[in-house]
Amino acid sequence: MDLGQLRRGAVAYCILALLRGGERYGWELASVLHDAGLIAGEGTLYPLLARLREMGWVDTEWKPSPHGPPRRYYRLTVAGVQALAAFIERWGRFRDAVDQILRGSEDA
Amino acid sequence: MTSLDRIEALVAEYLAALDAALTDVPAARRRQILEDVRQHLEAARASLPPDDEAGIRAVLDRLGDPAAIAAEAGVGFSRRPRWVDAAVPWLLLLGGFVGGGGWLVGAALLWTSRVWRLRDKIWGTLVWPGGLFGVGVAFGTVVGGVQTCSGSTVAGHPLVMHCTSRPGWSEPVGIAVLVGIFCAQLVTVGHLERVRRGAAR
Repeated sequence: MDLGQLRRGAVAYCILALLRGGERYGWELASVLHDAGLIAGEGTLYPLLARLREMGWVDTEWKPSPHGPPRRYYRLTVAGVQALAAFIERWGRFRDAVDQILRGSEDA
Repeated sequence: MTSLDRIEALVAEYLAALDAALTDVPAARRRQILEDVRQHLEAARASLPPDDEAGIRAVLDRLGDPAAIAAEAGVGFSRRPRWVDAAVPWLLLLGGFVGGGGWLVGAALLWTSRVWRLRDKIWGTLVWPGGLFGVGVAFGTVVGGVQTCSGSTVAGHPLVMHCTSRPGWSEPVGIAVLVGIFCAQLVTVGHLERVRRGAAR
């Protein structure tokens, strides 16, 4: 079975989690998620970022870069912090429930 | 062709393919994705030797197929038509005959619809305001011309009026232009209808 929908939902929150430590630009986020095997192509990060911005969970700022033209940095908004906190709680319960059933426990 | 030229060509080709793949994505989202990918490539190039063609190929490979990016960009966005969208081409074409209000309703529905892209909306509005009714009014002005009158009264003498009539443009040119606009109007409405049917599938 394809994990497409499940993965897409989870990756959006992984992006929020990566931004907890401070603002980052797209290239950094793309390589972290790609190396972790969470996105197939680095390019698919950018539609996700666009959607997170439309939802108001991240916003962006142009900053000068040491070499080359200015870069767009992404950072968490207050709404993004809240959405991430709510997801972490729901995800914990969801993961435990799935794990329990996958292990074949009868008293689930 | 130097390797620098080849790198430029590879990057330009990738961005053009992505731009084409994102055609159906709403304009703001499309612009942001293209900007980010362009920046991604600039950052990657800044980290590589300027003539590292194999390096750039690897970067493009990691970015992935433009179609995959476009597929991701389309999620959560529906282009499914509303039932009123079916009326839009007709309102734009003939709505002007309903006291002018029909065309305005058509234009308002056109701009609030998700079926048509920005360029369709601009095109649909500008060619031709008022629809066929608007073309008819313009036609009347050209053929009928514009009549200007001037009169003077001098105390105790009758009023004298001088009227001159002149066509807005030279007539054959004006008629040719209007026939062109008439055809453009039909083509525009046909295009809007085709886009709508495509989205309805």
